[in-house]
Amino acid sequence: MNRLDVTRLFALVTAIFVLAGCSEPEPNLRPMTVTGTVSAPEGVSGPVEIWLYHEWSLEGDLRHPLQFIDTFKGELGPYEHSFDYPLDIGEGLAVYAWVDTDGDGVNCTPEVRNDLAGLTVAEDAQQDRVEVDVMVGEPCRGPDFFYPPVPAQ
Amino acid sequence: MRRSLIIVLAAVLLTAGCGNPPPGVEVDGQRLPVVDIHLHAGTWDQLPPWFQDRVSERVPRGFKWTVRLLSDYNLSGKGILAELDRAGVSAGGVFALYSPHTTGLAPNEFVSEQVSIDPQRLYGFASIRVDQWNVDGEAQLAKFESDLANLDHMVGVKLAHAHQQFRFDDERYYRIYEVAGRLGKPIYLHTATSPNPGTRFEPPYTDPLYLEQAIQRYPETIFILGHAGWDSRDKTLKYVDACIELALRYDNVYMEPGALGARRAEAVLPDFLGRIKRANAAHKLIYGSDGPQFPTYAKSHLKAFVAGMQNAGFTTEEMRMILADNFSRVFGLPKFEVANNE
Repeated sequence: MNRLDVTRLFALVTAIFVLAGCSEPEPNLRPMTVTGTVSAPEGVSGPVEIWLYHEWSLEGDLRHPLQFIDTFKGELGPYEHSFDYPLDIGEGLAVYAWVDTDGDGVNCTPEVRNDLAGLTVAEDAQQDRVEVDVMVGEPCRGPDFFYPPVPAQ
Repeated sequence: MRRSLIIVLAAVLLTAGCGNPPPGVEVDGQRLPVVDIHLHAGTWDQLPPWFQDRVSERVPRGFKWTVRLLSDYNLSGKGILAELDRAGVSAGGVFALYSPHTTGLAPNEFVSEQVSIDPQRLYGFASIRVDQWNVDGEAQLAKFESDLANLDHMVGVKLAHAHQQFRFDDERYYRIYEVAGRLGKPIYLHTATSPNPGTRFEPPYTDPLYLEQAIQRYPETIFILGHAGWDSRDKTLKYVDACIELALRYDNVYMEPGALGARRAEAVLPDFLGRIKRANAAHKLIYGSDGPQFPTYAKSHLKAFVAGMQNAGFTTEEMRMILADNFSRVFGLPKFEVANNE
């Protein structure tokens, strides 16, 4: 086959694919509501940011904890949030929260280190309504500080 | 749609081979050598599905079956060399990657293998997996040190806090900086955020000022602030001034302008280069593109960046530093040279 033939064959094959088109798969989502309480040590106050993650995501070498799903703002105390849980890319539910004690919108600055964070993993994320309580107590921490947990000695 | 089609057709035509330019870029009658510190390797199978979707967005429906083939080629050592040749770039840094949350994996061993096809032109940057640090941090650190010391052609380290989901100010990870400093391997770190799904955008993961404590604590470690604070998600120069401030304040801090020569940054490139020029920070900027992305990206990035430097009034010597000499100096390599056609 000379170069011209290869080019024509390639053009023909690509034309067929273009004409045939390919449909995009729809993401597989399940409506879920998460409720619970965000609590902090006595005397701590401020707005709260809550982040939802798959506890684990993907398989093989790509398997990893804490794949982001959704985030929303709230207050210390009870919360409730409805969202679409992606079914195909992970399992479980981890709820991370931090309280913005100085109200600057950032979980600590290099100079001011008072914002507190915590994370709890849902006992059963198979239900449509899941209850998860979170205690915030660690200053300036991201979710990776809490999960996966340090193995017991 | 039309742009995507052009990219696919360009990729097909380019793989057929065309004449490449001579090495270097022409500036004021001189040819200056170019090193691109910021290039990615990888394979389609090591990209998470959400990033595969993003990569596929550039390709029109019906051509998506080509994406795996094109990605595997473009992200191989051979593909990267072809991309450098098309751009007239003498050498490039090739990054390992452990970002399963965002852009996937390019293991150290894979990068070392790709770089080995031409170690005179390709330089490896090792990385470290951090997503289960509480469980395997010690083991990952030991492997990282071993890879840096023993894998062939590893000259530096690549980290991307925003992609790898760890804070700049988290002291649990500071030992990474200690190892890199002790072994004399400069660290390239991603600053600001990116539009890739799952990338952190909050300041502790993106604002280089959160790194200042580590910069001070490890003066033997060289920190190269990747993207120089350019926020490609919001298309703003969000942390550029912070990067310049750190680079000028500390001997062990440099900057890299990856993706600022891309079309996405067209509107801000003059402002960025103006700030570098006014700050007299040319000696602290190491050129990089964040390629290969798609065929001819490295070339178009370089063209836009050089034109931008000329418009901003950089001298030929400043451009020589940015495009190649700063890289040689920081990595302890001989200066790159290209033939000048008189």
